[in-house]
Amino acid sequence: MQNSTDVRWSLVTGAALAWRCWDGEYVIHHALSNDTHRLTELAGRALLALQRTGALDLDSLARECGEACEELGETLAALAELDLIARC
Amino acid sequence: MTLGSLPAPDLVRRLATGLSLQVGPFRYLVTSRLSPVASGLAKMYADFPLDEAGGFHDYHIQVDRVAGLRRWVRPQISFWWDGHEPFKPMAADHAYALLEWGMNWCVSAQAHHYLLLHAAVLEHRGRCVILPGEPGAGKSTLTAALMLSGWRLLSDELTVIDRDDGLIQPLARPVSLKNRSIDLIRAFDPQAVFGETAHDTHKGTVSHVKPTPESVAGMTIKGQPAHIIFPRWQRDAATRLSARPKADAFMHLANHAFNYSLLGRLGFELCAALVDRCDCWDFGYSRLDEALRSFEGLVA
Repeated sequence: MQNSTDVRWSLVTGAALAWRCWDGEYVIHHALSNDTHRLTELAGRALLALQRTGALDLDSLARECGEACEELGETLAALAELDLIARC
Repeated sequence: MTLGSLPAPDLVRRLATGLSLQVGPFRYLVTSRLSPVASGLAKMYADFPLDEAGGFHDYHIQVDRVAGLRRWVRPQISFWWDGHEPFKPMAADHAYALLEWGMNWCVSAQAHHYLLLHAAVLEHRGRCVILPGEPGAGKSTLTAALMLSGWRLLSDELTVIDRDDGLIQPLARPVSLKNRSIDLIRAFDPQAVFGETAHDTHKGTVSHVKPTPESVAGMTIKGQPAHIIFPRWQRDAATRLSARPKADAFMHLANHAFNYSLLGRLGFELCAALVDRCDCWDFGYSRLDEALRSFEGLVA
């Protein structure tokens, strides 16, 4: 079984993000795909933390975001589905 | 000298070889031999300055009869842009409506040096309200009523955002009304000047309302965005203004823009800057008089 520190996450290569946060909701523009996403506050904070730090494991990212690992894990899976982040 | 002061035979003569029409930042060269086009332009664009500068035009357009058998059997007309026909021919009595649709198309399909949103814009006391809206939401009805109540019309269909300063470029062309909105606005303001009514178009019955002289006179003055309001007309609904989440307003504007994706990151930044500076609202209404009071309150 994988430990939460075994897997590190990072933004998909070349995914420069432009963003806004209004009233706790994020809108993100992903330069690589030219897609725009409306995201929860946690998803937005996680993305920006990865943009800031490069790559983080789940525990470190949870600390950056001030959130429990379980909830963050689901959010990261959703962001990976959108091709915004990937395991590295 | 204005287009309305041009004697009818002169207008017809100019239209046969190309009539210059300056609409906001765009110059059209309009050619037509159809009398409904000439009379429609004379009536709807009467307050526009006569453009005799010559030189460059952004759009060379033409509305005329289709050649061949169609000249005699159920005549049809078509719209040409630089010699291309972007639409299928239509019934001859839709000529003026087709000209207006074609003029919209020129900007929405090609003016990508602006961010182009599908929304009406009006201004009062130096503050613009932007009205996006699904078909049937009452956007054009509200637009016509506001304009006829003294608001400056910037556009009834296309919000043109300048990429350099985020301000709104006016395009004060006639307001297109459909179906029951036509009678509603006739009753609202019996002095309003209407063009010919086109029946059985793909949008139903269509007629245009002439822009007010104040709107035409302000055509070179860019507007300051202040509110984004999503109107929704519902029979017997109470007038209600409620805050709309900005992220939601952003996504709607982006999804209904003509060229948001095409502009890439710039489209995002322009749209986000617009939402940053505006308050965003949902607006339900059924009575125009109450709707106008609500709008007055927003820009007071």
